[in-house]
Amino acid sequence: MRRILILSVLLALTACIYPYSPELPEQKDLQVLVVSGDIIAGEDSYITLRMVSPLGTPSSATRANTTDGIVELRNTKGRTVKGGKKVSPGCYLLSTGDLNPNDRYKLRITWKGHTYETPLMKVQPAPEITKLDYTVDDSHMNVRISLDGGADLTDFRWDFSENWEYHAWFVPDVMFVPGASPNENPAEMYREPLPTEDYYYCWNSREGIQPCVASTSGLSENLIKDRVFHSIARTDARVSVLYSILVTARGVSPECRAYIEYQNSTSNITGDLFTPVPSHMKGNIRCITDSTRLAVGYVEATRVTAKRLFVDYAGVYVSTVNPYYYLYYPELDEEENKYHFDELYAAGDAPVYVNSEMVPIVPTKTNVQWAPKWCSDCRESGGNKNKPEWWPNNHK
Amino acid sequence: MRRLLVGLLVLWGVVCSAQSPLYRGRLEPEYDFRFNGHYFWNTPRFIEGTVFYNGTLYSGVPMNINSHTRNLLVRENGFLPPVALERSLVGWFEIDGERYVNLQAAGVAEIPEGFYKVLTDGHKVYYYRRDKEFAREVGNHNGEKIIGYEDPNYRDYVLAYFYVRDYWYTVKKGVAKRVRPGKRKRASMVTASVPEIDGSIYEELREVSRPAPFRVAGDTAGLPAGWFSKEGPSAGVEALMAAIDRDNLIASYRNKTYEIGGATRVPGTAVVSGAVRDVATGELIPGVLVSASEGGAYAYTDKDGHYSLKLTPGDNLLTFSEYSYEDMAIRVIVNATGGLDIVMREKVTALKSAYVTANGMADHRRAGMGLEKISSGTITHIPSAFGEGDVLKAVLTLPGVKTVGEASSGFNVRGGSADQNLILFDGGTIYNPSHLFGIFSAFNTDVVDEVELYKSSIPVKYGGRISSVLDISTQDGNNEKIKGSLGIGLLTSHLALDGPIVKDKTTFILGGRTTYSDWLLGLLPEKSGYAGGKASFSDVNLGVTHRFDDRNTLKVNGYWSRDGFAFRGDTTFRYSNLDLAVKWHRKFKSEGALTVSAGFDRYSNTMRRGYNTDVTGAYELGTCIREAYTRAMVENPLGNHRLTWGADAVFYALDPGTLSPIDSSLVIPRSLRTELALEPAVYVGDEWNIGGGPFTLDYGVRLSGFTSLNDGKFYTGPEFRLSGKYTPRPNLSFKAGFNSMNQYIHLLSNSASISPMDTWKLCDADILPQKGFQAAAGAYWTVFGNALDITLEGYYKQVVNYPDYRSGAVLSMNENLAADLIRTRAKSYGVEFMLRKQTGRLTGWVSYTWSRALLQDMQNTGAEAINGGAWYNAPYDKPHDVKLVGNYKFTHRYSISFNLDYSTGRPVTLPVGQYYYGNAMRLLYSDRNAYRIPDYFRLDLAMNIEPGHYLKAFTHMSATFGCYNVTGRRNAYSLFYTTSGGSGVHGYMVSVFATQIPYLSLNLKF
Repeated sequence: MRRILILSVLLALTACIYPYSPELPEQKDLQVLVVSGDIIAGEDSYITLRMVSPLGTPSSATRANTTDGIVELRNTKGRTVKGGKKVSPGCYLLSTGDLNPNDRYKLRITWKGHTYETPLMKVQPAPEITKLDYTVDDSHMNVRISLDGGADLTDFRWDFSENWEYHAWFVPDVMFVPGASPNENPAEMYREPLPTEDYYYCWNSREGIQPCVASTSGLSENLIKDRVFHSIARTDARVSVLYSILVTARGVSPECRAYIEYQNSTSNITGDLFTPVPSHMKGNIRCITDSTRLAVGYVEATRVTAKRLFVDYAGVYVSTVNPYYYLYYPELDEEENKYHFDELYAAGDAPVYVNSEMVPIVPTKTNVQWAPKWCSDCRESGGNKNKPEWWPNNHK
Repeated sequence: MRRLLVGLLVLWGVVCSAQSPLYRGRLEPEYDFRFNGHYFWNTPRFIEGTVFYNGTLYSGVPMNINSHTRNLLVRENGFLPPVALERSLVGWFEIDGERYVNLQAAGVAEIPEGFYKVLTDGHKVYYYRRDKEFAREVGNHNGEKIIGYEDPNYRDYVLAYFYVRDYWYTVKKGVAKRVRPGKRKRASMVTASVPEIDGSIYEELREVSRPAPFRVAGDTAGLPAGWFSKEGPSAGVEALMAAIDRDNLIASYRNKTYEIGGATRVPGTAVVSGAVRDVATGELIPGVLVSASEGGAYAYTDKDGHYSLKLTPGDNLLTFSEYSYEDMAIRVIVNATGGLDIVMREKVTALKSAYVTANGMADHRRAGMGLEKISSGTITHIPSAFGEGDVLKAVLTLPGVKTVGEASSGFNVRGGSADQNLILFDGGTIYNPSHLFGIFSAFNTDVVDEVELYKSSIPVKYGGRISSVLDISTQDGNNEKIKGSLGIGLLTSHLALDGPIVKDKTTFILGGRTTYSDWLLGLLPEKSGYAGGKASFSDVNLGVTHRFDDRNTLKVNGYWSRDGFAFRGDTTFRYSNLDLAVKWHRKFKSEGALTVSAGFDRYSNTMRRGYNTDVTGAYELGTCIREAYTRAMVENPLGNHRLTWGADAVFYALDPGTLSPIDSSLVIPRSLRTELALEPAVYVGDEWNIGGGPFTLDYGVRLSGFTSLNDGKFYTGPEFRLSGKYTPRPNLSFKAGFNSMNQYIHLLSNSASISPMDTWKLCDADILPQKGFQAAAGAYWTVFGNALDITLEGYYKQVVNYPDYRSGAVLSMNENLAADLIRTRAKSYGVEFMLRKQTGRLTGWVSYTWSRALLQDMQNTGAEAINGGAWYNAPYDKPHDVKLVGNYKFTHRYSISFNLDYSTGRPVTLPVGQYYYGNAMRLLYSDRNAYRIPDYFRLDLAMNIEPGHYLKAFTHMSATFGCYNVTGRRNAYSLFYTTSGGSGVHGYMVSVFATQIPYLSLNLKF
């Protein structure tokens, strides 16, 4: 009986969400302009123009679906403050310099014969990042931010980018020269690593996936205190050596904050019983020559502040990888009387250690331990050797 | 699936076509096989004999005597049911050489009605009558009264039985004199009340009568000379049946005449009023149709079992009918206004128990349209998830009633939104009718008596909502003894007690439910995602009824419920309903009745949101709505008119939101201003049977108003109700109706289902009242001996000022809520077709509805308007809807129930494009509600085992086991898409009950 009870409830509660690929709705003419970027006072501003892609388009193609137009910044009097300079397909640089806090500005875009505008916006102040730190719990490192909006700023947006240093598991004794020796002569197919072939330390970086927003509306002070906005598993390689996160925060209008919040929620909704029904929310860009034309995006005029945090692996990183588990000696194919070293290398493995007491070491067919390349080449894990100039340690 | 549907429809057709054969005459109640013993005088066998009926001698007539009703039964042939002869027209008859006489017809004075066997002991002539009186135990099982037992082999399990009484008379000079048993030793044994035994009392009589046994008398002592004459025309059974056909037109069902209003007849009209009670329990019976043969006047007993009928003085035949009781016809002589209380006997024809209370013939008498009634017995037999009988789930099986998903709280009636339904529970308003996020409804079926859903012609006494009224009433406690029931299901348990507090004066009923879902959720594995979840609810009902006298009744009802749940995360929800109601019903001495009620309702909800680390934003948010109301209503029959008039007043105090910090949170304690408002209304309505003919009009006007006590804004408007019927034949009627309604309170929601945090909002200067009307027409045809009702109704409804929301609307703690809302115009239209079978082993209904529900932005134009200002689908627009609900009884104990539900998928807003914005993939959504989720289909089956009623058993246990969603179809509740961290777009489907859900429910009556 107890089993039946549990089974019934289990069936009812656990089998609720299924991947579902309905026939996609018929695609309309998706000539919809997407404008992303903000007007940043005192710094370079980048405005990117894209178009909406049909549902199911690969991510890379969606990202590359840029479009060209004319971008300019105008002030209250309608004068062009700055014209946009195209720096890459669809991307325009507006070097506005500092903006007059007493004036208001709007972005004007001319695209495919139509003119789009934002309303006139005053420049939002930047909040102060009073604290950027992290805590560690059993499974995650949680990055927290504290913001102070001062007397007037109630709505905040912050974005982050991450950089991290990590390392491979082994420094290889020898390198493999693919195709060098069809007859598998160790002297020909193995060589010593060059000094430039140090692939032990690597660096990688990533932009935050979506902007974070918060509001102090309803709070007694314009303070966001210790808000966790990013979590990384303690087993993640990002925290295995040195991790850095740069947060740029800006003040936004309540409408902009609501727009971003809605975008975040409708792109990652859970579909449960009480979730708000998603629909299209209009931003602050309107086509002034044809009101039926749709545009997407919310452009804000604002200032930014930034703060960086470094996190050392000590006390954070928990390794669950046992690299020695991956070491092996290539086996002889007795039928062909061959070891197939080239095939192993093509499959993603590489030599690591030479088990030899001789100096200098002499590899043979049977004394070299192989492992997946990522064990000895950090680049295989997505990073590169481009160490940021500001990176605080002397690893190479 | 199509095969299954076709199969079910064929099965349905075969069963429906198996109608009773045509017969002539008046059927006797069927007691066969459900009692220990039978009601015949001697043997159930029909024996050919001779009868002198209405001046004609008929020979070769198969006859028998019903000793319970004291009627002479005639069976035309073995395939047809026996019919009763009008007793007053029977002079005498002979069966198997024994002679019986109708002494009343022979003019003998002081003799009770009935037939008497003529016997003699050699000295005197005795007239002997055998009565079989009815004794029974009544079991109340799942709200359905169970009487009798089908299988005669289960003699130990006696629930009802007959016992025998014998009466002996002599007749001297035309006056009967009873022979008392105590005065005659030799008759002492046979005149005592004894239980039924096999064999003939007559045989016993002969045994105890030695040495001077009784024998059949040949003389006619004390009777008119020549009374047993066999002279005159003689005919066969065919001729007799033809005569019965004719005579039944004038024969009364009960051969008794009641004189009302004293001996002096007054001119004008008189009012007959009274109460209708169950003969066994004394409980008042609501919903009994009381109709007069003269003038066409009729009335229904109200919820307290009272009726009032205006009649023309003179002779009249009053018929009392209700689906679960035997019809009762009473001949009355009305001289002046007076009272007539009636008791009715529950039907014992269990195999013919009705399934739906909305009696087809009653539909023909009522001018109003769109009324659906469901009894608690029906509710418990409709399969439901986890085996818990559910009021709202039963309502959803009716045509024209839809829901956005199977675990959603609200329901939609004829294209209306969920908040456009007025849900009354003993007069109190229920603002959230669900438990456990919509899996169960808030109403305990143990205490529910009847559910009425008005979806078209809403009576003038109701107001405040646009679409429908769901009026749920609880039972009165029984007058006999303390009884109870206990039910155990997969997730819930329930207990109910009822009985007298003061015998014949005060009764009570108490019910409660609770859940142990917390315990079960705790058993779930971590990976299920619900392991840390909590969800629980409980509710309590208490009702006390006090009867001061025959004309005054006071009822006090209370209801309390609470829900709480939290699934993952640090957010918990709680909500609670509280309703208190007092109702006084006074039957006027002269005519009509007054009902005065008052009550207090409270609905509150709380969301507590903590932040695991960032305590600055942790808060508790609560809303609360309180209403106090008073209502007074007078029902007053005037000739062919039936007036209803009264006044209501509802006072609202609505707290739209109170925000409180938790612990060291920086949240500022804040409360939105309490909204205070008064909603008064006066109304008058009349049901007018024009000239007592086939035309009846039901019309009225309700003048409702609304005053915001905050900003002084005042709204008012008349609401018109008009419906009429034309009944060319007793079983065929056509109706049409129009009603307009105003609504001053709105539920603001941007989720598909009613959620605990949805906001109720009163009208103010910015948020206008919803106003709407509905026009409807229909045809109603009852065929196959009242066994099958065919209904076709069409409607068109329009509403203005229905509040839809802007994209990204913030509905909580929003001081400027109107800015996030959009006034829309709503229209809906449709056709509903239903076949309903109410008798036989198979009962139930099948319905098909085609309907549309559309909205249009009436506030904005062009690109700023929702969908560019075009009509768009309402979230509950489901054009095609097929429902099949049935119950098939194999025996009285065993039955199966089934429920089939198919509907078009509801509209949803889907992404039609994707774009890169910032560093993330985003979705571009379509026009609002432009697409639909997949169609919905579900089949449920249940097996019901009723209790074995052992007479002396203290408890009776019944069980229901079944399967919800037998086909295991993954019905979509919603579709959604995620961008999964920017790596791509993935579609998902939410299915609430995505597989078969077996269940077992046990109920114990004591």
